[in-house]
Order: sequence, then C-alpha cells, then structure tokens
Amino acid sequence: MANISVSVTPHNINIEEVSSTAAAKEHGAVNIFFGFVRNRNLGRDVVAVEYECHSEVCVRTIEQIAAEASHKWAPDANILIIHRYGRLLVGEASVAILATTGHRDESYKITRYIIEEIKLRAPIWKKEFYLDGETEWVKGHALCQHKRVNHNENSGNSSGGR
Amino acid sequence: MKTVKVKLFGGFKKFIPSGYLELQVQENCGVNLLKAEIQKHLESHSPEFLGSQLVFDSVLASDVEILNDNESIVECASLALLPPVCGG
Repeated sequence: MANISVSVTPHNINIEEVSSTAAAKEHGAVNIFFGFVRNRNLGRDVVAVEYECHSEVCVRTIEQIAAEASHKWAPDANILIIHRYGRLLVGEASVAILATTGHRDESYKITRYIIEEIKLRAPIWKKEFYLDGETEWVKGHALCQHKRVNHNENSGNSSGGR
Repeated sequence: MKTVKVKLFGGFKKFIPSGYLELQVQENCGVNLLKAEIQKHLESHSPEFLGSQLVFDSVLASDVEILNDNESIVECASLALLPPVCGG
C-alpha cells in the first residue's frame, strides 16, 4: 500500500530534508522533482511570485493525484509532495515531489504525472511581480467539474497541510 | 432569500481586493444561477469586468470538493470561486 504525504506550506521547502528522505529497503529508486521560481516568464523579468491556494481542496486534490499515480505504476510507492504558498523570490523552491519505488521507471513516471496533473487540477494560483513594478495573475487551466475529489478513494496514508 | 458568502481566489482579487462576496440569492439557488449573480455583481462593481469570461471559466467549490454547475447550493458553510489554476 502506498504511503502518501501531501502538504502546502508558507515556509521554505527544505531541499536537504526532502533529499534525505530515506527509501524503504525494498525500494531501489528515489526520484525527486523540485520546481523553482524563474527570473523570466513570457519575455518579462520576474522578481518574485505569490502563490495562493485553497488549502483543503488543494491537499485533497494532490492526494488524489498521488493515489492515481501510485495505482498506475507502483502500489507500494512512498510519495512526498510539498507545495509552497505565499510570496517567493526568484530561486526559491515552489514545489517538491519525491517518489521512492522498487525500480527507476515507475519513480520517473510518478513524479512526472504528479507535476503535470498539479498544474492542471490543483487549486493554486500564481501572481507574478515584475522588475518594472507591475504585477499579473498568470492565466492558467480551467478546472474540470467532473473530476470530483473523493477523499475516500485515496490509497495509503495521507497527511494534511503543515 | 438567503445570504451566500463566496471566497474569491486568484485573478478575482484584481476586481474585489477583499477576496469575499456576500450575495442574496433565492433559497433554491443553484450553482449556475449563483455564477450569473456573481458575474452581475462584479460587472456592477468593476466596469473592467464587463464581458469577462472569468466567472464562467471558474468552478464553485465547497470546503471539500468542486461543485457541478447543475447542483443546487445546499447548506454550504463556505463557498469558493476557483478560477483557472496555475500551480507547480
């Protein structure tokens, strides 16, 4: 059974702490994805971003995404996901996704699936702050109504926001 | 009539900086009707919003899940209007 931990946090993501998460003895692969704030987007110089999220629905949605990934590729995976909210400067980590699995292929697939689905389905919004002093909410992906979040369908253990 | 509170996220704050709306709606108001009321409210308070599709590109959510447009709004303690998302 998968072990899934999802949190959203206003605090810095501790890259060393995430990276040092130990794999289970039967897991030969640890794959970690970090997303960082870039200094440029669509031709504009970015100095900071602000993430806003609907915490409850966000955590449940990401738990559901992780459960789907585990179900598809590795039912015994350990999955850790942390997403920042609040104001982040260029170079700060906005998201961390860690998957430990028996073999490398499924750990790559799980982390890739989770980040792509977060971008489409997690209720998170990003405001960019530009060098010229302007700000803009970044246009995103419309949420689907039929993709209901059912907490009871999650497999494994999950934790709420921290 | 009943009072419905809606929390706004993302780009809506450009038009309603407080991030909250309170609207009077019919007792049997559904999600579709509430979205139409929100659209009217935003258009009346912010001329910039006229013709915007943002409300109709958004979904309403309760504390725990996204609601379908054809659902009625029962006793939701709090509703949220979720515009297109941009996480990661």
